[in-house]
Amino acid sequence: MCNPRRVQVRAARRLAEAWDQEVRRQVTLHGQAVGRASVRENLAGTVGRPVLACMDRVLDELDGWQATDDGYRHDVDGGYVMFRTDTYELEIVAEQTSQVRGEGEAATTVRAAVDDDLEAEGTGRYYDDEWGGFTERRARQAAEAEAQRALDQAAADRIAAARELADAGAGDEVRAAAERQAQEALARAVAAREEQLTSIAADRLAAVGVAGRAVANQALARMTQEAILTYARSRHAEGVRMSSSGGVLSIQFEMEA
Amino acid sequence: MRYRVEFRYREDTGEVELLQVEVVETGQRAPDHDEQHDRVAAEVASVVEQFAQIDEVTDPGASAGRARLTQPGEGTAATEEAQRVQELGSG
Repeated sequence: MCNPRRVQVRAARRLAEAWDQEVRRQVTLHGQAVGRASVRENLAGTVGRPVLACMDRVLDELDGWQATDDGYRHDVDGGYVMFRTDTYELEIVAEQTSQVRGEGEAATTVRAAVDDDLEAEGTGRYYDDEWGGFTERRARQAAEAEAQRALDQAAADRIAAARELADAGAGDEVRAAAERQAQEALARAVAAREEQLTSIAADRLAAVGVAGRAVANQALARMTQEAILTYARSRHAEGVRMSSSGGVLSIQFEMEA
Repeated sequence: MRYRVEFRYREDTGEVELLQVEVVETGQRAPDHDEQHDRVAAEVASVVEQFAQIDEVTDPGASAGRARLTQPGEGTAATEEAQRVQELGSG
């Protein structure tokens, strides 16, 4: 045996193919359907203005109340209570929510093509004394086979790249169409579900109202307390006493008028 | 005139159980005693409720009146109890 020798083979192939290719996109959108039923009470017609004037100050400090653009909101089981500071309305809302989804699918056919000259090399080894059966002929066959495999791989890579390019080229438009379909489907699903949820919310409004009224009354009680004490101070009241017993708060004072 | 104000309400429901404005006797009765009492009672009542009806009830054992404050629609019939309280029904 002596040092191995190498045989290098260079192979070339003309790759020219064209085909029709489908570009397909599926889009799923998730959304929320909300059904509400509510009842409003205008406090401005009954509750004293000094009590209503304490609304912001009291609700800013009471646990569970969150300031919103319209006023203050307190969540209760199955809904929420809202004091609207612009209109001095009390609103009790039964709310039902549900997750819904809409699906859309769109496809189109595009023309794809590759047109390229491919080249590849293969290498084989042999021994002059043909040791181990490594003949030059066998080495050349191995080199040619390797070169062909490389060409096959290069062709497959080129075709895959052309497919991706064609897919990407039409993909945005197809995806946009699928999204439009999904949005339409989602809107239909939301509308259908909201009709059901609104009916459920209406059935639950009475129960939510009980809990909501309790929360609202506690807040109104604090506003009333604050208003009475503010009035007492404004009249320079003396002997202001406040006591609580059995869930009843008592405020007493004397004043000149 | 000097007034004693007592206000009681339920902390859980906000229901006003009593709002009473009572004249504290200082001796001589002013000529416009009743008018002043009505005015102050109305002023105090307006703190917690708009358009509250005010009923004056007289304690048979006292010379000064007490103002009874009621909600519109509650009615104005005064009770005949010796110790009267002013009750304001609240929603």
